[in-house]
Amino acid sequence: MAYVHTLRSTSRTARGLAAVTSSDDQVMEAAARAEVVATRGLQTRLLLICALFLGCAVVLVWRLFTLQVREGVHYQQLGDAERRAEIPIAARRGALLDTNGNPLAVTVRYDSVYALGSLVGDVDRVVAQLSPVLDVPVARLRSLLDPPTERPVVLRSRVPSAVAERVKQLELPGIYLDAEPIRQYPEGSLAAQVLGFVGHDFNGLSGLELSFDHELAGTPGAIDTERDTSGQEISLGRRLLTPPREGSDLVLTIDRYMQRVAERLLNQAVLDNHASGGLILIGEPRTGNILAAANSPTYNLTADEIFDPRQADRYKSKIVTDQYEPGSTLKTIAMASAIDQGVVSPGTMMNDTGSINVAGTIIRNWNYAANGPSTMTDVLVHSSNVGMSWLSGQLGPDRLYDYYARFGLGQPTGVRLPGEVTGTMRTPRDAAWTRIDLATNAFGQGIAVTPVQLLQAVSVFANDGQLVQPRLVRGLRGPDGVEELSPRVVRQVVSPKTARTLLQMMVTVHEQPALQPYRVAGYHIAAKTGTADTPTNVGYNTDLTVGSLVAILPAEQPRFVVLIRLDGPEKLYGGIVAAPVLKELAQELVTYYRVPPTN
Amino acid sequence: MTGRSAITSPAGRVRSAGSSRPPDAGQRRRGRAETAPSRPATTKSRPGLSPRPAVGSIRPRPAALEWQESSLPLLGRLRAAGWLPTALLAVSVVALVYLLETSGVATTGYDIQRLQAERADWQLRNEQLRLELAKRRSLTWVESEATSRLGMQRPDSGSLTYLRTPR
Repeated sequence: MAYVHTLRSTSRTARGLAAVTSSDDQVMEAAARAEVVATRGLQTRLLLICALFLGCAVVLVWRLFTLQVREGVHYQQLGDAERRAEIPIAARRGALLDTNGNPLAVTVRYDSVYALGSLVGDVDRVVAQLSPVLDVPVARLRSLLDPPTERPVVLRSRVPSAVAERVKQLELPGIYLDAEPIRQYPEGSLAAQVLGFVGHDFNGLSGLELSFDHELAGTPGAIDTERDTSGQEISLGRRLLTPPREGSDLVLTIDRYMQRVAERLLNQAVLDNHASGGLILIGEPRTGNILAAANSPTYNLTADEIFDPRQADRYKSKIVTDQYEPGSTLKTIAMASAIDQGVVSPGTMMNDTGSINVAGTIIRNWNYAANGPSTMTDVLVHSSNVGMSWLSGQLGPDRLYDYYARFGLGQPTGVRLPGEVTGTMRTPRDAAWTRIDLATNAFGQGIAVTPVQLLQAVSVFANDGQLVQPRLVRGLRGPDGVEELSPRVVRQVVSPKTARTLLQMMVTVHEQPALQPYRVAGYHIAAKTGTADTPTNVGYNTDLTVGSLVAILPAEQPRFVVLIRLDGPEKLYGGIVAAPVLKELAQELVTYYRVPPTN
Repeated sequence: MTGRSAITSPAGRVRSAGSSRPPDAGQRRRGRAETAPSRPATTKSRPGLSPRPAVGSIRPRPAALEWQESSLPLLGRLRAAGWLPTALLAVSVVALVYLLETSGVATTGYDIQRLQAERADWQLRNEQLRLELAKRRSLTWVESEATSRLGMQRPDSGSLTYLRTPR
């Protein structure tokens, strides 16, 4: 409109000029001049408009530069955080398998059904539909859902997949499923103290679950992806997968059948002898494999809440954490030391008068008997404390304790169970050591060992004098394949001849008339019983003993070494309480492993 | 806007800036030329003056076409006139194909997610069945079934007889 107005005013001006000059040229010049003026005004306005747009463009470009370049990283991070989603992928925890591959502890995922009370709506309808599916009483479900809460409430955990599928099909509002891993034990509480257990966070808390936690746990993975506003993953978005590294399966040396036999026999023996507890260890001397490790009392692995603080003592792996005075079973070690040093031989004679004075202290035999002139074999057969005290004097402290150390006493075995102790052994280097210690240590008092230490030491006789490290794990099956762990020979402790000599002496011990009822037809067994008084603050309690027995079978070609121990048995003596258990156990062993008779 | 406007190009040619031409505009010019026959219709052009078209030679043309013709060479004008719709069509087709492909990929992606979830469900069920199998093979269960359901009992040691068999 302004442009039209300008033209009109220009025409009026031109007409005015024409009237004054009345000349066409003048009129034309005036009109031309007017058009120039109008054109300049138009150009000015166009320039202004251009400048305005240019200014806007500059502002926009500057703002764009600020957002994209100057603060680009910041906004990139904000954007990433808005849509980025990291979905964790839990690594499967490795299983614990027995030596034949049977699962002892496995991880299985189960669904848990939970409810968000505020979203449930019609509680009566939901309860009526869920109750028969979940097999949970209506009243119980109603108490969980009414009054509704904002927090998720677990209605039932460990739901089998078939039940979970039925819950899905119901499509109830506010009812959800969430899969969670559960540690399961197909064999029940078998070898509970060896296996151990895991916590709610799936970290090992005891036993092999703890000591091999790193190998079992694996490494969790994650999916780094993008999600839309509804939380769904964007298919075309970034998707970076870091796969989890699955945990390795542990192949144990434990044989579930022998473990079960050992636990059954131990429980029966504890009941029969009114003992407070006990243990049975079965090992393979050549490999150091522990085939069974039964403890009593133990704990229930299948309970919903495994740990009970009132019974904290039961969760330890007692075969390595609890030391005890082994009593006469240790006489075999002292005797082997003396024979290997050439101090005595099986036929060396000494006079057992029933007591001996050692540095002013009178030491007597366990039955107060005087056995008279005795060979070293007789000393073992009669389990003579007097004879062993005499022997220790002949051997001397340096050589005795040196051999004890070579047999592995006073040091951890490295069996890789948590809390292993070294045992207690005083030597002349300790200020508290006295001469009487030398004598008592030779017959297994005043010295403490762990069950695994004793099993390892006795295995030397079955192993041509070699000390082999005991072990509970013989291999790992991981993502990278199978890793077989080789048996480890620690050292040569005594000569093979000494080892065979001791075996023969122990066979004589087991075949003495007193143990005749406990022989196994067709097999020679090398054994030594032991009865240790329990130490107190003021001496020893002779009415509370640890009755035990170590055995190697068959004696000709040793395949198994056994330690049986009963704590506080009513009948006190190892020969009485442990020998019957050995007979049954030996029969099971030779039958299960098809060991041919030797005589 | 009812009027018309005209600006003069440096070359002295008329550019029509109006979107429409009033029907009396040409008549007024023609009328003026007819009433002043002494003045030629086309005079010597002067700077700042609009040349007057000859009577009967004015043919209104679209302004955009005039601009195109004035700024592009002949070959370019032909190409522009021919390739523009083709290019637009091609871009549209490419965009459509891309859209379809993207949509297909997205659908496939969601299918993959669904199938992965389904696979996870089956794996979970498989794990649970394996556990059930292991439990049914356990010595605890076998002994329990033997003693409770089948009525078996453990033999006494006296009831066992070991036979020596020839090797």
